[in-house]
Amino acid sequence: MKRTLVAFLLTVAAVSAVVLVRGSGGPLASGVPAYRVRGPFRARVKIVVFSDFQCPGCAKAEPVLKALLDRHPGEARVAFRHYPLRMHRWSVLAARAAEAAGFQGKFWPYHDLLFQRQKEWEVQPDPTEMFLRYAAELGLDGDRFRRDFQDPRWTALLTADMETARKANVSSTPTIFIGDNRVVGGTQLEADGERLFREAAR
Amino acid sequence: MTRRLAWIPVAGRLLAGGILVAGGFLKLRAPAEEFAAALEAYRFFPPDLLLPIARVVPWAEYLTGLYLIAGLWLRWTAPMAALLYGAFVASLSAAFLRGISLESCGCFGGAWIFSPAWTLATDSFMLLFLWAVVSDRERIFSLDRRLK
Repeated sequence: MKRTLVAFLLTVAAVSAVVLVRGSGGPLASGVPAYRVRGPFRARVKIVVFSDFQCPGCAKAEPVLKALLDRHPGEARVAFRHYPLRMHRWSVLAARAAEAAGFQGKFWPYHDLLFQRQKEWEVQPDPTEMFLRYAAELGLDGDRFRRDFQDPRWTALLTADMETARKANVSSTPTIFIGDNRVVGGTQLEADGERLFREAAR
Repeated sequence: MTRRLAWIPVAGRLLAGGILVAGGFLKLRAPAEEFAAALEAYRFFPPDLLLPIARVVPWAEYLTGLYLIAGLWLRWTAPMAALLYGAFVASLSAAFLRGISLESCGCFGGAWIFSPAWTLATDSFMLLFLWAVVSDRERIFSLDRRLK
């Protein structure tokens, strides 16, 4: 009898601890720089992607997201938020390069290039020169890119994204919010993306 | 069992239970979709079962770990913990044997990342410890003994 009571109290305390620390959503897209947002302002479906340029799962999810958006042209507004995982050596550097491209209005083409060539730059001892080459390929001003790449503004931008991720209880990439619902990874996006998109559009 | 050896099951309970509590708690803190995505990488579980498994297993880990540390209903919790570790070892081994390269084992959600090889070694070690817990009859430093 005593043991049952102790077990009951222990379980109640344990469940309460989990409920207390579980995060919730929030205004995920607010504060994202304009160059990291695409789609019509008044689109009914808001999509927020927490991603890491060096994460293989994020690269795999990209074409799935693109296919979903292609099926619904002009219906969604997509915001990108950085979530560089600690286990990836060059994630932060890649995020900085994408920001530098964003400062020149080319965030999305640079974003696509980083994912397409992920296997190429992630194995470099230092991919900085490669990132500069990608910038040149996209016709960006090299000197400005180099300067912006070193610009300390990226720290604040990255910190803001990480803080939003923490509030939204995100700790894995890619986490994609379609309206208020989330999917993690390309397989979940493929399986549930269409349904969630329709629900969000209602 | 000599006095010194009697502490091996206690250490086993604290270590194996501590890992279960940490793994369960960190996974429960995050949305179930994250653990489901980690399980997906094993290419082992039916897709329809991924989310149900991701919702149930962390609770089983967390509560089993707590009871194990407290030494409560050890007759049931110790075999249950061994079953969980056995399932982890089997899943990781199956992934290794099939040549699946996992970025992370997914054991602690996205919060703590450990290599699958390290986890396999740790989990196997924990199974050995749990064998000592299951076969221990003295159950010192446990609520089972205290509340007899």
